[in-house]
Amino acid sequence: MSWKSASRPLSLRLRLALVFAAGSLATLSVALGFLQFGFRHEINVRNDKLLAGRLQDVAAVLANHPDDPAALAEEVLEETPASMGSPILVRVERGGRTVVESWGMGDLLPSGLLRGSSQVRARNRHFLAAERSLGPYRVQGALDITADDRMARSFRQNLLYALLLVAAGCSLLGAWAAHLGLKPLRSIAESARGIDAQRLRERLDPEAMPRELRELAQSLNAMLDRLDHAFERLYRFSADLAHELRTPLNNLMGEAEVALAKDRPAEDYRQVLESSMEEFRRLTRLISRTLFLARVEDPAAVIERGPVDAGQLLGKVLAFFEAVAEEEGVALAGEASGTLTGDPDLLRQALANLVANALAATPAGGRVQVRVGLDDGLAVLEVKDTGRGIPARELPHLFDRFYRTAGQDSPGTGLGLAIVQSIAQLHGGTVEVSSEVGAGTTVRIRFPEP
Amino acid sequence: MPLLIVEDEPKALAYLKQGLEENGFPVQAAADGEEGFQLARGGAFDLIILDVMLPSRSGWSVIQDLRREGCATPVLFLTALDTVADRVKGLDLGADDYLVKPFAFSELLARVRSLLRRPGHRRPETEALADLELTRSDARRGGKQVNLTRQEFLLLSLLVERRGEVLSRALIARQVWDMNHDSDTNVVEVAMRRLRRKVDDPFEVKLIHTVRGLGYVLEVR
Repeated sequence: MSWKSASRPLSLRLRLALVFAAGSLATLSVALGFLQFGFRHEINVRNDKLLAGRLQDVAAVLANHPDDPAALAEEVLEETPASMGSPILVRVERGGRTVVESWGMGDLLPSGLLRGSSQVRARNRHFLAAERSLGPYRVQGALDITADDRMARSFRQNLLYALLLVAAGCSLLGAWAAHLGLKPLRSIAESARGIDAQRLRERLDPEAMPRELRELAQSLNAMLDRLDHAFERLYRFSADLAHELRTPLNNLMGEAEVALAKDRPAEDYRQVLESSMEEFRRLTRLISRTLFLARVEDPAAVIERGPVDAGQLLGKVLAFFEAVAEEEGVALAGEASGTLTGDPDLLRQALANLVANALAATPAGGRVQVRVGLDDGLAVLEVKDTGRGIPARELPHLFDRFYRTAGQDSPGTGLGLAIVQSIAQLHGGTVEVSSEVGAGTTVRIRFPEP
Repeated sequence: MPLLIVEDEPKALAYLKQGLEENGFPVQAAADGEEGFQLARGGAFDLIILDVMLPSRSGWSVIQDLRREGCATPVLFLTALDTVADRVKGLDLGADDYLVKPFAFSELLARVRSLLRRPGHRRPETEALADLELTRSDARRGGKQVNLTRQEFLLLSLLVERRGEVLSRALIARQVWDMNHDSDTNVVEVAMRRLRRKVDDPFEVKLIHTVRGLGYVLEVR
């Protein structure tokens, strides 16, 4: 059975009410049906007995007093006592002719009507009929059961009313049960109404819920936790972003104001403009990196993965940094093997960010070792340096946006590692960092080959 | 023939016009999409520089109708929209190049020059600037061979090819190393310093100049 209607699903309350009503109707119908059947059966058995008894009495007179019409007439015309209910009409025939019969029987129930029938209707009355042959005699009896019929009918009617009443009661009960059962859901809805971006801390209390709804409450709470974290990160990010924008803007405004405050030689203005260009570039970099992160963090973001030759990827990144490494006295080397499956531009950017970080952290005489290849079906991009290392307490924050390690003097945006992580995640992979202060840092991107 | 700039932001229009004219490109300007469209279909331009978000009609609609009418003038889009989908849409509609705001003016100049360059244009066998000579495979200055690494040679080739143009660090990184890397590192500075050490330092006349805040230029000053 489906409760689905064409337009919209039935309300739970209506469903329960209907189920309760249908259930009670079915059970009661069966029970009352039996009751009614039994009642009718009892009456029939009693009537049969009465009728048979009466015929037996008449037969006894016929047997005991043959050829005694007076005795027979007395027996036949005897009034059935009122306590026995309706009178039983009796007729005695011999050779097709009536010998004696109860008063009025000839008109009401002629002999032919009764012959061979067990039930007879005449003049709106209902009779139970019986016959008995005894030698030359035929004894016919008829019991008026019209009153019994009426009683049975009224009994059945009363049962029907009772049935409808109970069904109505049950559907009300069902509706009430649904109302009661849905109360915790309403309280969930009530709590949900109170939750918005400003009040993400509110939680449902699963302990106050019935067992069946506890899981729902827990899932909702887990969802709220996730949203809460996401919002918090968003708040922190916008605050950080505003802060990061403030520094270059402050420089720009200050320099321009001071420059304009009095007349200066053209060379001074040029210097201010040149300095401004540097700040503008910083702002541009900040914006393009933020946009890049926003783009790759879009859940709908997909990348096109193709074959990336590990040797070529490594070669390009090493070529880019070799001069810088040489200037800084850092040995930059790498090994590569195989073909990865990924987005070549993104992987190059990730590897370049890691190498840039490694070079910035490694003093002269140190070493930066890059490895690109496959390990047990996982693509690996690894950059290992012998630099100053990162204290353990800073490790959890490395991938936070705008986070800069203590003592980092480079004018970075603090977004490089966040970008590396996003790129790894876009490839379905992870970034691991292991570091020892004074000994160096190893950063490893790993992602599964499709 | 002049360039047509369609840009509704007055400041942007003013500096684009000034910058392009000062670099030798005559410019005609339109401040909204409809005006730009009418000018473009009526006049003969070498290049149209088109903003995407314009009043009266968008840059996308302008280029769509221009291409439909058979106008083949190269179009360079300027826009703040920079999702991949936006780029693809622009190029699909018939744009020849796409520049995302904010961009360095030197970058715009480079794109304009490259779009205006005649097809089939080939670099001559030997290029020379003052006493610097560059062939397909090596560099000489004052007749003496200059020993360059591969990257340094590529860098010098780029500077010679675009002599007189200020090249931004991002453009250099892309052209020489194929790196789309807005790096916080000083890779380009270091490479330039090393190139100068070989090409300029031993000589009286300096050819490579830093334009602070913008980039580098190769020219005789």
